[in-house]
Amino acid sequence: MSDQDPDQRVQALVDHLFRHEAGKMVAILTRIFGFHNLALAEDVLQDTLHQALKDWCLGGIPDNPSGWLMVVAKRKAINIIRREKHTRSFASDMDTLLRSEWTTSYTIDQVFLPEEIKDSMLRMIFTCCHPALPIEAQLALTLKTLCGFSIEETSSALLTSESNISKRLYRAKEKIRSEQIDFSVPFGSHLRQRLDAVLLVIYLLFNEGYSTTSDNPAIRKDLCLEAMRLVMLLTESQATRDYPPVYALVALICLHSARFDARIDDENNLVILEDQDRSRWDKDLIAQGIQFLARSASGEKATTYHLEAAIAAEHCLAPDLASTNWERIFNYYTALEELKPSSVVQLNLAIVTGKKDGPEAAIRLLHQLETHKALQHYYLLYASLGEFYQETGDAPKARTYFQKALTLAKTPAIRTLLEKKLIRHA
Amino acid sequence: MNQFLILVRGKYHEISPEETQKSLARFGEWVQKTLDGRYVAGAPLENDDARLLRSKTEVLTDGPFLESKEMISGYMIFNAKDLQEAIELTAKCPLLGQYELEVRKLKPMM
Repeated sequence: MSDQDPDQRVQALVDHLFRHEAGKMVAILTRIFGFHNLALAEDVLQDTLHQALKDWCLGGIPDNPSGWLMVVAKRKAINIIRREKHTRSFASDMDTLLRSEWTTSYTIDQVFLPEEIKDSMLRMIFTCCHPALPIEAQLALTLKTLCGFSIEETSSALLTSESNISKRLYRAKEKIRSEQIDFSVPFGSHLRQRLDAVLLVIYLLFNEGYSTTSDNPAIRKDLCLEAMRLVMLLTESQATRDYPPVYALVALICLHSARFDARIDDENNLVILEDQDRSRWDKDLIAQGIQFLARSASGEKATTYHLEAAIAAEHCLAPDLASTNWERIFNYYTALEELKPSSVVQLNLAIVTGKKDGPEAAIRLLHQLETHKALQHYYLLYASLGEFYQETGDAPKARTYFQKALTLAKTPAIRTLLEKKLIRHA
Repeated sequence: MNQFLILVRGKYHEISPEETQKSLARFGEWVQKTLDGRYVAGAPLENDDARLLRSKTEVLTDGPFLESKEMISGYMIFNAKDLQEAIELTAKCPLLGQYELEVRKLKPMM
């Protein structure tokens, strides 16, 4: 194999192949070893990664890279069980089968079947997103364990320090052990409640990737892609695919992702909706999002995911800014405010009112919001005031509010955006 | 032109999935751009099937020196002008960090 052009073959690897396979491998291995042996599963993953690096560099990339990784991980799992069956206990439901030389290989082969791989992933999702864990721990554990992120990548994704992430992960694993949280897919009346917890984690991961900007734009996009991958898994699994909010969340993620590239320019600056080149929006993702949104409509009640997806759909389907249906968007925000009242939704309501009824109406509402604690230090409130004063022709007031927004903006991308506005309206 | 042998010996620091992928891509670049036609051959070695022979009859399995992390687990052969150049080229190999690389000059047979 050494005569193959190594460069050509390495380039042929799918993006993030190892990250995605890592999530699968750890899930399968944890299914076999039991959650109390998660560290052992991670060791086997490390071992497999090292072997892949060396063998693929020196021997060439195998024809089926994913298959290679699975076979190697499986062999290593069998060796560990043979070597350590007298000193360790494994997953309780297969422990006996694993211990007998007659059934070890057969039992492990079964777990590596495609349907079972999905099942293991699903168990891992429900375990990582267990409501007994603090939400920050759920996010970190999901990224580290299911998405194959390193500690460094996880800390960069969740905008906190590496030692913080390590502590969170350590405590979460301890809690799963001490509370004897099952490595299983919940059923019956628990399922929906637990699924809601899973959806929330996926939603937060996506939001973290989509709405924050940092000096590491690549990891932001990865976060969005991972959220998409996890939620797609839910649509493919029998246990979870009949729950309408799952589709609402997929729709939401598709419809926002469609605009991912168009809202960042070449210098990593944010481009606001009205300035976005709509021809750069991903038509396929929009079409998919609309389809999923239609599928999500079968439920008895609309969730916040439904409403947020519907708002995103309105924007995506408008050929240009002028033809946006602000009336419908206003209604969705009103419903959202009834379902889950928040200052940010009120802020959006005020902005949409301005688009619908003119700047004076928006300015009145926005000034009322100035007293809200949650918004007092939020740049968007003042940027919106600046925007609407600009529309009324009151340039000095507009400048005052843009400047106030500028002092509150936290990220460089947003500061640049506001500076541009100040220059434009000078 | 001389031929050099690189012996690859594991050190195994923790590696993340994404790093693994990047290292593989960098290795391809190293062969393509840094070695630029000087790569001759290479292969990984199986770690589990090592046997040490002392005589016709004495076969040691996993011999006394074979602590698995220190085992030679692969080799590469490449062309270089002299040892100095061989070292410079090897120092740029992306396997360094995860592996120790021993560079040896192959003796030209007269």
